[in-house]
Amino acid sequence: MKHVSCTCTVSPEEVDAGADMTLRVRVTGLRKGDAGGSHVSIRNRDGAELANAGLDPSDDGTYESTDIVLTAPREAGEYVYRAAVVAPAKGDRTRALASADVHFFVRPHESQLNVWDVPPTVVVGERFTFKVGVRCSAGCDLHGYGLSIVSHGRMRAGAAKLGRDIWPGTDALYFTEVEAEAPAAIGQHSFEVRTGEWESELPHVPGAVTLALRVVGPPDCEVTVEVVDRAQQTPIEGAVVVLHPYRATTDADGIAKLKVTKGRYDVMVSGPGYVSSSIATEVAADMITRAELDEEPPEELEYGY
Amino acid sequence: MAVFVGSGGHGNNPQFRSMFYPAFNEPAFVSSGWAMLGPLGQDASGIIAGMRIGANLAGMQQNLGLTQTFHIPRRLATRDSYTDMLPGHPTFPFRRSTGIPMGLASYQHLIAVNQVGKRFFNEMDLAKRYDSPIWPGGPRAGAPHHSLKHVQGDWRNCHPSWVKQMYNSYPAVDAALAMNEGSQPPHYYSGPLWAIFDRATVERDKWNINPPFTADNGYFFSADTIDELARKIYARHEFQRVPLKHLKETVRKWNTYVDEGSDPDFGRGKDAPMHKIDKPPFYAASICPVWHDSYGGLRINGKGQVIDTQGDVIPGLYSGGEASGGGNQHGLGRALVHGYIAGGAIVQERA
Repeated sequence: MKHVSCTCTVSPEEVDAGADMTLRVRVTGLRKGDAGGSHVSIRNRDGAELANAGLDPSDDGTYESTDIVLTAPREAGEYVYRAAVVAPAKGDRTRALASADVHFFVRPHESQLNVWDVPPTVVVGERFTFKVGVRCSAGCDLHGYGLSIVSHGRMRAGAAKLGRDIWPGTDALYFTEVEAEAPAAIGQHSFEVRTGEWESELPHVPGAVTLALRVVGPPDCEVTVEVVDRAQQTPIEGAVVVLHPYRATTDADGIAKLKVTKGRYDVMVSGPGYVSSSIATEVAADMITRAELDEEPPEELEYGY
Repeated sequence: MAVFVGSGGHGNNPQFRSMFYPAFNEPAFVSSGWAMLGPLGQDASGIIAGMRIGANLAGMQQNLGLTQTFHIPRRLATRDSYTDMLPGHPTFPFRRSTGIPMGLASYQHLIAVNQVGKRFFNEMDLAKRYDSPIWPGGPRAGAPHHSLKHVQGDWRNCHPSWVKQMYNSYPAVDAALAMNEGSQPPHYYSGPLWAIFDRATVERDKWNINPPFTADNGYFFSADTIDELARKIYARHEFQRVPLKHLKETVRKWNTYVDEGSDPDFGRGKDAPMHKIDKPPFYAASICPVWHDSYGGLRINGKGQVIDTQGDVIPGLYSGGEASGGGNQHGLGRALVHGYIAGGAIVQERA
């Protein structure tokens, strides 16, 4: 008589609380006579059946269940489920032919934060805006959830709530625009954006992200950079002009204007499809300069030789 | 009766090619034209068949002599990064994505990371191609004389810098294929490489990341956050064997460098602006070095007869094209010439 045995796999082995997970059972040694009426029963530690599924024959003589999709428990921790291969017996009774345990971990939802559209420079004391987005690792609806903005000195610098909309191009990134005031001291400053208390039945781990802010003094000069295609002598729109830490993008006329403090800068210019250029410049007063970019030649592919 | 081995080279056989460039044993990376040739193309099968009956090899060092042999093509998000076929081409179903074409300047908009999510090279230099020291290349290729001024057979034509260049000309590939903390025994594969960028990159440099340039084929990913991006790559890319556990920190550090205006790790920011990677969604596109041609193979004589390890002809066995070694040439021209020579020799042998 063949010995019937089974294995059970779970994917993922670490699953967010309340999220879907998939179990699959593989049975070996099952006789054709038993296979017809047999099925797989998934049970929790208390023996309560959570799901069942039929068995399909494989080419190698084993039997496999279909994908069994279950909702993970809502509390974090380590769990053990049991997969039992059950065959019909006389009357309404059944008999277990084999069983296997499957271990998995349920984790609290993770809060993942992004900060973007932070201006490269902010003048001391001026107000500025930036965007904050939060995604729950399980894709929970975060509309209305609170955020706090904490300055480097651990003082609370502001608060915000996530909006109803999801950031374009993302699946579940809830976002908001935050307005804040720059510190009064020139230099590099950092803030931390933190998630607040979660009002959810599912466990969530709070998250945080650091925002770096460069605070500068009031500008002395305006630098106007005209960016053109060298060969065509036509303006290049969308070119990036950098006089670190200042940066701007050219308009339809190929013009970028940057308000900077006096000093020596590398004027770095790059445009889509063009070779970047860089030239050192002393900025002592308002000035206009011109950058002529060369179009980048396409890569030569060599086929067949 | 004669047998002619014309089965192509060994660029698509990681075990064979790594005999001569050990770092290129990563099976994620293929020979150029992989989608056209299929997995059995350039698989060294004919060379191995010859070796089994005692054939010698020749020209393996010439693999290292030309920068054309292995390089990082300027095309992301496709395994066959050397070619650019679009839907409608008969081989497109094998590649499933054309790939994102890149200008050299476009590399300023991304960071390149290895299988654990760490940067490994100055991205601006990643896809640069250097002159190959092809005889008689002249001063541009490190040789003193050019064209007819070159005196064949005179060793003084070989400038020391030319020799040096042969073995030290393409550090980007060495860095890309370097063993790293994700490399595990027994093979210590270097693992896949990823270009990491964001929505701002796509808008700023006008990248087309839509199909057919990208596809849901494991070579391009989009995610709401860097955490999720790393998770998707690990779950869905066939050669991603370890988690990209450093990716989040790498991106954070890179954004700090952009704020500071310098890159102490790899010297970015000198020849092109640096840009933050912070605007969602975030993207990962594969960077795939290719082994383009192979110059080494079965040792043959002037008639195309295969030579054994004692220097003797193996009766009835001929070879040519990239299945044979030496000659420092490759491709269709080599195959035609060898076929003509060996074909003539076989006819004479029969006569």
